Amino acid sequence: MRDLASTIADATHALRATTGAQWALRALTLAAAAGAAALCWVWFPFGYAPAMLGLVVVLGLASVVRPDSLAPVLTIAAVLLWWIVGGGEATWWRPVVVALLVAVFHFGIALAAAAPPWSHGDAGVLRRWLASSGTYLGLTALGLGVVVGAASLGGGGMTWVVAGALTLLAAAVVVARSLRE
Amino acid sequence: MSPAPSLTRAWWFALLLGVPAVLFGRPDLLVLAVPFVVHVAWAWARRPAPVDEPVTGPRTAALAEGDAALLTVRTGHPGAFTAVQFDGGRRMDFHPAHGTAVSADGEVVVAATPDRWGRYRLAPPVVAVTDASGAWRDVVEGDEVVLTVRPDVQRLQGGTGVTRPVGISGIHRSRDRGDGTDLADIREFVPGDRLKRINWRVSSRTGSLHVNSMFVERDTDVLIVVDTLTEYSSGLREASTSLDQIARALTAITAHYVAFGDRVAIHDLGGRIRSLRGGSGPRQAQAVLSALALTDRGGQEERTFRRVPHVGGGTLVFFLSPLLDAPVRDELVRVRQLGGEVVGVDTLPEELGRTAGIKDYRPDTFLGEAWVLRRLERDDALARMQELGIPVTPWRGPGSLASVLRAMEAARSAPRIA
Repeated sequence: MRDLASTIADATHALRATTGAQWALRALTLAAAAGAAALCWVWFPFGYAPAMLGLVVVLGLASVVRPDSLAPVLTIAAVLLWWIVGGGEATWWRPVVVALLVAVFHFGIALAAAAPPWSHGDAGVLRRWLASSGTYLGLTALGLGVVVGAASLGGGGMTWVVAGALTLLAAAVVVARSLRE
Repeated sequence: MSPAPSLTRAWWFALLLGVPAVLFGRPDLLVLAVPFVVHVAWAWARRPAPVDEPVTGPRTAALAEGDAALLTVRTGHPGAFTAVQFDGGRRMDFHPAHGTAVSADGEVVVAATPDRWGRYRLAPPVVAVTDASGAWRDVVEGDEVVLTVRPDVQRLQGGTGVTRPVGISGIHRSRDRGDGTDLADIREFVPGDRLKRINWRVSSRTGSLHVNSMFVERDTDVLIVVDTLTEYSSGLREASTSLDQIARALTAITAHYVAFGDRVAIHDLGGRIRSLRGGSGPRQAQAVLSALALTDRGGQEERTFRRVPHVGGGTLVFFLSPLLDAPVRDELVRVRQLGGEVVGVDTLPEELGRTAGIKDYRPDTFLGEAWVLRRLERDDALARMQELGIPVTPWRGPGSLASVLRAMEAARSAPRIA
């Protein structure tokens, strides 16, 4: 009980000391997670959807307070689980929207973990945030375009198996080479 | 650099989504895997070099009270996010607040302002360098920084309080007759007297040669005994501690007597401040300031009581202490018995041990009541010292000792019974 109280006290202190820019980053990140869960609710409603949305928001809040903890993993896992269960027959643009929101949450958490919430940054930090986020979201959008484009070409299940295997093989080669270096 | 949790997260989600997407032929899962695959690919393509030891500068700095030291941490990773956190304890103010700043140009500057005099050791700052993709991070330590803060100097108000100057030449009037400037007596001429001392008016009136007899001016020895055995504080950050009071009194007394050309020595009962042999002039005043600036403000360890080794007869002794401990009060009396002209200066913080302050403590601890009792016991002991003829006056600023010093000077010219 004392640990819980101490944890809550630490989190409260951290929230109170959080600077404006860090608040903005964390608010945007939390909004992305909540937005993804809300879209899942709208598109794939089920009996416990409000509870699921609440869970994602609570986990998202924990994520922005402790970005290096397990909370971001659980937040993303909750959204993806919802999608996996309900989104099998969704139209092509819906996973793209959710993927972009998940990307914003994932990268926002990565940036939030780079410095304590009470740290003050200059304009250079803001510019670097925008540049990194722009690069990442741009590359993600490009990747999404490639995947959606490839999917629209059709070609049957075996095409996907081959494409996927080639992608994983390429990733494994890149990782193996990097590890050797 | 090492993988940050975001990279591990991206790697696992890319695998956990990519493999089922391929196995079950679900392009939607592949779409959801794209943000993670992109992050992993970007991170591996732009893996940065490990962070070397960050350079913290300056490693040492000397400041005046109230000044700030600009501390710079360089990591040599421009473009990465460099977050630095200094921990200065309760007695250090930082700008930005909390001593934490983040920069994207590989250099972080934090201003540190110690809230009062002394020496401060800032623990090595924690430096976290995260690359632009947020996927790689190294957490290292900077260098320890030592800040020395010279105390402000106030000038004591009032006279000298010197009753028996023991030196050779100076500006304090002694009881000895000789080659001085203050008239002591007019007496008949004896062989050996200087001709310029002949008082012609009295000589012509009396018909025999008379000379002016003068008091000799001498300098004196001043010994300042300080008690740094324990630092007493009311707990409020902005309030002066007993050590602060001692520093203020020490600098003021030193500046006062050095200006008179007297020799000032320092003895610390607690050994926290470097003891100084007797010396005079601006150099000695500077040595006192340096000794104070080098005093470690962080230490709360048990200190060994170091008695005053020797006091010359007639030495003017200022005994700066909270006077809470019986051995310290006994030492004050002993110094008096050794022949010193002792002035006790009470440096216990004014607000400590007052009944009005009881409410500031937790009721179940009875600490407030304990402090009141302790102060009462001490005040009783101080009253007994006053009865012994040892003046003890509380330090409340540069004018605190004026009345005591004036009284001592008055006692010098008062008639004495041999």
